[in-house]
Amino acid sequence: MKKRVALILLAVFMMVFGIYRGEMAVVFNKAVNICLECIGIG
Amino acid sequence: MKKLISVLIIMLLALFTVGCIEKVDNKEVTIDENQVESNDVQEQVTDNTKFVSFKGEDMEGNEVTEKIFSENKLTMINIWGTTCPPCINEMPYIEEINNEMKDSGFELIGVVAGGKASKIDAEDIFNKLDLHYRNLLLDDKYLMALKVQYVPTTFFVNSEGEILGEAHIGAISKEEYLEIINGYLEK
Amino acid sequence: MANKRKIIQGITTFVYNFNLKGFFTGEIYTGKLKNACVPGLNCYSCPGAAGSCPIGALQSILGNYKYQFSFYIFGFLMLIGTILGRFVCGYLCPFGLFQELLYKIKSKKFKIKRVFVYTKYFILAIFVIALPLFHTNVIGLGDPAFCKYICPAGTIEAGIPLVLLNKPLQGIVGWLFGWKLFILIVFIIGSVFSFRPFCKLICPLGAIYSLFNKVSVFRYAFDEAKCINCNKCVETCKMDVIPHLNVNDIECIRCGECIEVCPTNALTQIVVLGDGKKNEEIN
Repeated sequence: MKKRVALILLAVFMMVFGIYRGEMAVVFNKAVNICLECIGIG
Repeated sequence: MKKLISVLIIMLLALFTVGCIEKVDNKEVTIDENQVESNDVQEQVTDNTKFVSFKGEDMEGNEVTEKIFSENKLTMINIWGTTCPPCINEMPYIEEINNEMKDSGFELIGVVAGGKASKIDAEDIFNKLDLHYRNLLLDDKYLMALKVQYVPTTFFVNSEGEILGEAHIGAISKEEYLEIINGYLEK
Repeated sequence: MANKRKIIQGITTFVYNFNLKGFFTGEIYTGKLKNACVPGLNCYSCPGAAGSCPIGALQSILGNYKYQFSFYIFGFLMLIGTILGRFVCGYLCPFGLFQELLYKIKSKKFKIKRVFVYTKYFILAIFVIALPLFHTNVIGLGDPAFCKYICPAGTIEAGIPLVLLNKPLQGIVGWLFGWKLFILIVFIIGSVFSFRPFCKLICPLGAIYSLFNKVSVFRYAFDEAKCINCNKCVETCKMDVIPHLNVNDIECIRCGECIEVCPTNALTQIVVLGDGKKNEEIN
């Protein structure tokens, strides 16, 4: 029980920290501007 | 189960068929030079041959509008993204093109996707690559009006603010750029 | 019950891609939802995609010169993994559904040797992690190598629709597109003759979730006392797991078929934060 709860809490903490340091903005930027190389064209 | 598969396949086919038919009706943004003279252009709700009117800033904070096109015979607008490797890879040699051609009434102007939000990263990249051409920070709504979806996308614009030829999607070689530029300058 | 799973897979595919408008305009969705990832493999360049792909997002963060590690994505994967494990593969992945539909086409069927399932960890390590981190360009931007060179889900969901719907793109497709098409075709044909070959051999997302199979809240339980060694579970399992030996094996995608065929209910599905001493049977 403790193992799972700890993992879940750690996971949430990591996500929040990642968002705080700007990672989510990077994901968004990449997801809405198609870089052709990334999808294998050209 | 067979029924499910058939239904799904038919749905997929229907989706694609309808999609293709719709596309034929859509007027494409990119218009040939020849059509500039035709009457059709005036009937369109948006004037597709003219680069969209815009208001934005350059990297020094000066306000820039579509009036910049009148400063040169030919302006190359290179739309790029700070996380797009093909965009970054062509920037050093388009800087070279700018240096070689600016005395011929040509100017290269960069537009970074994401506008002001990308300013710090754009400056960083310009410093790292020792680039000196002008770079603009425009709101993404102008890119949407131009139907720009991919980076890099390059437009060639004359001094009247009209887009020449088609938008170039993807990076091309320095030689290919020079060929296109010289082609337009000769006219 | 197997039909219920297909329905959920279908609904999932639709939910991940509810920007149906994109298939008519040839343009991708650019709304705020793309700040978040969907749990399954769904290319964020798909015109219909309403969320981001976790594997694509991972490569884009690792490839960014500002980061060497992604808390956001690894945290997300850990969260989903701890709750669901490879239940995502069985219920929440469109590309998995696609392969399963192909497998329904009647043909001789082949099994993949167990040893080959480890290639996906190699793909994860090299193409999703190492190459974006280390194969960088002049300003330190890394190659999203898995998306770029391998992912067939991206080819079928994004590459092909975008090229079909956007004439300007048609002129610039090159050898890379041809290579990606080739990979897609290999997996389409492979999926007819073998069950979910991409999931077994290549999928880095499945590789990550598999690490959580043993600890996930949603998992399977085996009661040895009830087992009569009929081996029906082994015969049924299309992922070549031996449920009565290793019920939360890394290859188990939680399709539930072994549970359905077990004549004595020795195999059950449990959803518990604890160790499952008190089983909550769902089925």
